Amino acid sequence: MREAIEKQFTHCRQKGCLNVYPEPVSYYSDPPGEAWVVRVPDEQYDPERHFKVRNPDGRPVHLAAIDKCLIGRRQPAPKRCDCVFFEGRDVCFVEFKIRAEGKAEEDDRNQETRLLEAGDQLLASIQQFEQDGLLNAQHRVRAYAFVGYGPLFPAPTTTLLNIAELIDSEVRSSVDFDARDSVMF
Amino acid sequence: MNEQLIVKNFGPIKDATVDFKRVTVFIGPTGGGKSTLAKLAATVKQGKMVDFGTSDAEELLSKYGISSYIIEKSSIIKWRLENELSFSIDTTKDSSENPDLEIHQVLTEDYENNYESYKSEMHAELEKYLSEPKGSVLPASLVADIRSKMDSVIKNYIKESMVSILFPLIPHYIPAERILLASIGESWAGIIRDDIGLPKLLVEFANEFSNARKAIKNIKIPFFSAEYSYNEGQDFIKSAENNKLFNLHETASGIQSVTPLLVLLEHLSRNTEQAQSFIIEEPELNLYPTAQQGLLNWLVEKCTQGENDLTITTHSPYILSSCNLLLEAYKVAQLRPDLEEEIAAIVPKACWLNPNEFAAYYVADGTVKPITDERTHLIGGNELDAVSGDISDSFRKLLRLKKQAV
Repeated sequence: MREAIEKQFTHCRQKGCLNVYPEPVSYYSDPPGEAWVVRVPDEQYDPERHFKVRNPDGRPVHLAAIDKCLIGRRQPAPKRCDCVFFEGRDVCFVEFKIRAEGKAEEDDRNQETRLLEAGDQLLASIQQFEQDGLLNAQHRVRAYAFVGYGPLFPAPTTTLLNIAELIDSEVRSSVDFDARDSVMF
Repeated sequence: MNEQLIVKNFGPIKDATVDFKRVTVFIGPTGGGKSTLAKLAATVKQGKMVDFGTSDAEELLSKYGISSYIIEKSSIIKWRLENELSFSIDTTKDSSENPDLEIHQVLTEDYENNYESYKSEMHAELEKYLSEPKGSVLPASLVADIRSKMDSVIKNYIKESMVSILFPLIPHYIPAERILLASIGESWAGIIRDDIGLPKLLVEFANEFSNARKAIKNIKIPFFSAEYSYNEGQDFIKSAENNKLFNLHETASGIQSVTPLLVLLEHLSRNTEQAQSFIIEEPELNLYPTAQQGLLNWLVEKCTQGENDLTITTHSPYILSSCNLLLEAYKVAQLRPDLEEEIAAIVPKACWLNPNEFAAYYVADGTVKPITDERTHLIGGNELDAVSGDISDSFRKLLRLKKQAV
C-alpha cells in the first residue's frame, strides 16, 4: 500500500505523512491545530488522549496521516479521518474524537456526537482509498473511533451497530468498525 | 397500513406528528409524553370517538387516564390514513354541541356525502313503494316514523362503515401496571368485584388475561425455557431445567411480569379474522437483557402477523439494539437471498423487520423526533445511547482525577 499511497499523494514524502514504526508498543496523538497525527514518546503516554498500537511481532507498521497531511481540508469535501495504520493485509483507519482539552464540560460535545462524527469521517476515508485503488479485496480493514478510551461502558450498542451498517453499506470492503483505544498488529 | 397521529397542545405534547408503522417504538424521558402518544393512538383506534354528535371521547380518554390533558380551546388530535381519510377532535372550534368536554368533531366529507347519497336512494325506494297501489293507505304518522327509523339505520350503517375504514385495527393497550397482576394472584377476582379504584386499563388487562388463560391453557416461554399452564383457576410455570411446577406468583419477577402479557397476546394473535393493534408499555419490565431480546423477537413474530401492528414504549437500549438486529437481518436477506438459511440461523425469519414498516421516535420537550437514520434505515444515534456516553465520559473523568498530580 505504501507505494500506491506515495504514487497517489505525491506530496506525502515531502510532508512526512508516511512513517514506519516496528516497536512492540507505540502511542499516537492528534495534536490540535494544523499538525497531523504523530507518534508520542512512551513516557508521555496519556491513555485518554493517545491511541495505542500493539505490535508484538515487531512488524513494520506504517502510519499514514490522512487529515491535514495526505488530504488537506478542502470544503465542501467531506472531512476524512485522522490516520490509517497498515502492514501487509492489515489496515486500520482511526479517527481521534477525544474530548477537547481545557474546555469546560458544557462546551464539549458528548460521546454520542463524537461517535457519529467519527463514523462519517472513517467512511469518507475508506471510500476515497477504495476509489483511489489503495484498498483491494485482500485487505482486512478495521475502522476505529477513538473517543478517549475503550471499550465503552455502558456500550452505546444501537449507535455502534448503525455506524457499522452505514460504513459496511457504503464501501466494497468488509469493514470491522468499533470504538477502540488501541489496535493489535 | 400507515397511519398518522397529529397532536397539538395535549398534556405534555405541544406539537407532534407520528407516522405509525407495522412496528413503532417510542423512547424518551419519564413524563416526556411517549405513553401519552401511545394511549392516544389506542384511544383513537377504537373508533368510538367518532360518534357524530354524542361523543364517547371523554369516557375513553378518562379510561386511559389522559382526559385532563385536554387544554381548553387549543387541543387538536388528528388521525390521518394514507387514503387521505381523517378524523380529528379539536377544541379550538365551536364546542356548543358538546359543552361538557368542549370537543368538536370534524366529520369527513365522505361521511356527509355517503349519508346523503344513501338517504336519497332509500327515500326514493320508499316513495316508489308508497306510490304503488295498495288495499289500504298507510297512516301519515307511520310513514313519518318509517322515514325517521330509516334515517337512523342509514346513519348507523354509514358510521359503522366509516369507522371500519378509518380504524380497521382493534387496539389492545397493555399497561406497565401489568406487573401487579401475578402477585395479586387468585385475589384478583375479588379486587375487581370490590372496585377499589384500580386503573381501568389494569382492570381491563386483568379481565382479558383471565379470559385468555382459559382459552390458551398452555404456552411455552422460549426465552425462559419454561412453560405456562392454567389449571382449575390457577396459573403455573414449569421450569424445563428441573421439570418442577411453581405457582406463577412464586416465580421470579420477570416471569410474573411477562407471563400474563404472553398469554393474552398469544390468545389475541390467534384471531386471524380481525386485524389488531398491540400497544405495549415498556415490555422490558423486570427482564434481564437476554430475556428482553427474546421477548422482542416473540412480540414481533406474534404481533405483526397479517395486518396486525405493534407499538411499544421503552427505556431499554437492549430493545433498541435488538430492533436494529431484526432490521439488519431483513436488509441482508434482501441483498443476499441465497444466504437466507444462514441469516435465519442468526435471527429467526419470523422476526425479521422490514425497515419500510418500522418507525422509532424520541419523545421529549413537547415534541417527537425520528431516531431512524435515513441512510441506513436502522435506529441511529439516540438519546438512550447518549446517556451511556455521558456515563462513560463521567467515569473516565473520575479515573483522570484519581491520577491527577497532587
